[in-house]
Amino acid sequence: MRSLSELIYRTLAGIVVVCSYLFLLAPLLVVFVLSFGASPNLEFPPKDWTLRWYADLAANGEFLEGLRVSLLLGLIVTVVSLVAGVTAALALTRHRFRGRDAVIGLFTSPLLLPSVVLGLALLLVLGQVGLVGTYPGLVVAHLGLTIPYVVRTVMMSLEAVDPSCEQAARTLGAGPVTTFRRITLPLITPGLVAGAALSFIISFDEAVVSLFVVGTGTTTLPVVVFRYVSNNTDPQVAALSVVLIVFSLAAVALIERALGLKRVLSKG
Amino acid sequence: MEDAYLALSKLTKTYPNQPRSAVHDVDIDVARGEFISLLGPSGCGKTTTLRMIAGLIAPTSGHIRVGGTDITNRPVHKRDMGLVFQSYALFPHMSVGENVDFGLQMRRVAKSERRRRVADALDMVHLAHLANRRVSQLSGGQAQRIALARALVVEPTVLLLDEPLSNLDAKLREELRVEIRRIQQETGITTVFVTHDQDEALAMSDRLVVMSEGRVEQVGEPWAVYETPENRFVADFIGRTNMFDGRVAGQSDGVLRLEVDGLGTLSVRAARTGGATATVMVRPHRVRIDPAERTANELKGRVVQSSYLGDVESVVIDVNGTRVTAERTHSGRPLTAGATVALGWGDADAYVIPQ
Amino acid sequence: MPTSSRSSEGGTRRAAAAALLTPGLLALGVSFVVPLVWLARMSLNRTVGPAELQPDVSLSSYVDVLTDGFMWEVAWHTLWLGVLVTVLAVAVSYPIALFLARTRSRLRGLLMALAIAPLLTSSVVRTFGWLILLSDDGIVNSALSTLGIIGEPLTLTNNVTGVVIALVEIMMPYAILAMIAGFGRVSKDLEDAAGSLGAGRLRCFVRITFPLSLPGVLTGALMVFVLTVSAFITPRLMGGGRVFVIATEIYDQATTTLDWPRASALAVLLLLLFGVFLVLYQRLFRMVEGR
Repeated sequence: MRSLSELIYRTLAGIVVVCSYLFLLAPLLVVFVLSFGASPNLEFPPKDWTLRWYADLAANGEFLEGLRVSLLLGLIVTVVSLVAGVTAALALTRHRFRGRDAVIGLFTSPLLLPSVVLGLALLLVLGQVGLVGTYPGLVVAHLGLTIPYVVRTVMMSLEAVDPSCEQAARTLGAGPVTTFRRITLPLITPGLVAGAALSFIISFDEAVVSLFVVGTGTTTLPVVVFRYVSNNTDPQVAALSVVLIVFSLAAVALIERALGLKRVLSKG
Repeated sequence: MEDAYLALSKLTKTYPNQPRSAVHDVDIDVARGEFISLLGPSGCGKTTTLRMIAGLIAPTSGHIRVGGTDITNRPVHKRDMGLVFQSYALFPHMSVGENVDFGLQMRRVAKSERRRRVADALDMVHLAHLANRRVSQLSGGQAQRIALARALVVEPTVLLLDEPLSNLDAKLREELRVEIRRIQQETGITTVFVTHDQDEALAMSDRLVVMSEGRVEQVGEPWAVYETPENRFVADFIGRTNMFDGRVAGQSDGVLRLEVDGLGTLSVRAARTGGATATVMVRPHRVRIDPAERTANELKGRVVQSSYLGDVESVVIDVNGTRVTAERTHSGRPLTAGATVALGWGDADAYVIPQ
Repeated sequence: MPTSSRSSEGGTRRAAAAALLTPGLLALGVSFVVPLVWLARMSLNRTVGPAELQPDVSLSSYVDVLTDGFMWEVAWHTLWLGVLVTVLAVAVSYPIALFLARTRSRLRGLLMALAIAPLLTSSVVRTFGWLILLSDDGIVNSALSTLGIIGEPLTLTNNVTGVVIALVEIMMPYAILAMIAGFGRVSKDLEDAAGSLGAGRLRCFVRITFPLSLPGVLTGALMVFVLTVSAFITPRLMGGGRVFVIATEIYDQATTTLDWPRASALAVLLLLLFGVFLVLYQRLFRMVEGR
């Protein structure tokens, strides 16, 4: 009697969880499957399979240009975020100064800002100085989104490093720069990897802020896709989406291995 | 001290927004090859002092000299001191050998010589076979030995030990205590050892520096600090003790007579003290229970509590409302609470604290 | 003599900290602080003609926005969407979060990553997926008609229904993350204890599990609500230009109408709304936690 109700409960709970997962992953799965479907009308399930859409993709100048812009931008943003984020994280973990809490707050507050508001604000300022549609403008626009994550991941790593290790290196004759290079840097590699992967994927996938500040020759891939999808849906976009998903999965794998996805993305 | 090798003078550290200095006007002279311990309760400033010597904390005022050279403003990495941490602080991304090698690399020692010196240092701590181990595979005792080898391989001017034994279990602690002292004597290195454990400090040091609330309370050889504490704090902190305040009733032939509430008149050998009051101290193991012979101070009391500790029995006795702790070492059945006992001590067993 | 050089040692450390903070503060300054200040300033200017503004310090844009009946409609629409999506997203995320919080399966790590990973995939891509799923001849409609449940295809795109469905899915990872973090207190032991005291499964859930998971649910709900009322991509793509929310309105005012003071005023109002909800949330959270 008891075990029967237990069985019913477990089965029901299992079904609910599986259905929730299906719902969560449905759009990604559908896009993946249809990118290999032969029908141009996005027929599901596909009757025939093809790699045609991926071949078309490689010949689509607009998409390729968007990919080039997004890759280049992602790289620059990642490098700049790492420099700014690592130095800031060092100051925040290794130094005690007045206003430290306020600075920590500042470094994490962009996470709470609606991207439409940030996009508009950036459009106004960058327009004023003629940087809309330029790489410097786009880099500036993305930094506010990526730096907080680098500060966060690097701080997590730094806090796990025993400060005595750095002090020991100093007493053994290493100057501050050598200590950082030989001791600190190797020990915070996981934070650097996770921070870099997050920076890159956030910049690479960012659509809303970019939408406000891109221009001719600097239109990022997500913006290209957004504009394209506003007018039509076809298997070529599905193929392109799979490319984007692959980038995301690579970033997810890196972050999960380095620090753990859940730790990095949980607030607080 | 004229031939001081390491000299701290008027060393002071004050932190903003804190009324009391962490370290206040500390003067310590350490002779070349001496093993000196900084001993005190937590927060007494011993670690801050050590870190100022190492250069990890900048003093607010005062000077640090080594071999006559003022190094007060010299940065950490140019001080040439070996520091061993409580947390070992081995570099987790390097092997044991690489850890020991690090300081030699920083000094740009030739590769062949580095190899020889790393091997020698590992030999010295009897861990030559672990050179290629990962740091994470070491036990606590091994890790601290490696940390010691790493600090010594560069032949520093001074060896600084920051509670190096506190993370180890009791048996290992005793073992390493002996080993550190052996290595220190073999190498003849000037050593400053920070600890809150008085047994460690008493057993290892040439001299002790007892600190409290940022100040030096007493400097001296272990036996002298134990037998003749300069003030109440030291008497109380080092070892266990009975202290009685009393009024000076008279003095003759180097014996002071003191009027103590509840205990009557006590006699104690002491040089002349000024003042109408004095504090007398008797270590529990100098108090005899049911003494066979007559003693200068004879009392009667009731046993309040007896703790049987194996090698000694610690007995708290109530004498007319004043508690006296005694220790006896003879074997046998411990005393029971409520029993009436006689107790006594000679006038040379007690000591007048100078205040 | 050394006193001065010594205080300069402390000074060196302070200088080092300042030097280390400079790149980050500079970057955040230009990419986040200055723009926001500029936005606030812009909202005080006055629009005099199409794409023409006059520097001023007035609240006229705010007055315009707040007296515009359509704007109120958009605002209510946005709030209503926020509430609906929040309730649904929390409801469908709850089972996954509860499952992940307490499963001892070896696959836990993988399943956790699977639930959170969509967070790092482009919302454009995920919205595109829903466009394919929900279109008139899409998978959902063809499946329903094949099963004979419907005759005519349901209109699930270019309207608010599609927006809600897609947003619920897009918000799930945020809700799951926040809820797992808040589920620390729901221990299986407590439930087992209740079970051994004779409480049935349902009663156990209602009396023990759910109340204990409330803080997590609240945090998840706040995350989802805040992200939904400011969402742009999904309302625009799934709504096909026929669903108006504050975010799409800001975008249109800024890029089509070119009325920057008005767009800025709207943005500032959205930020204020954020602030109000954060405060409300904190009150509510303390109430739930404090019980």
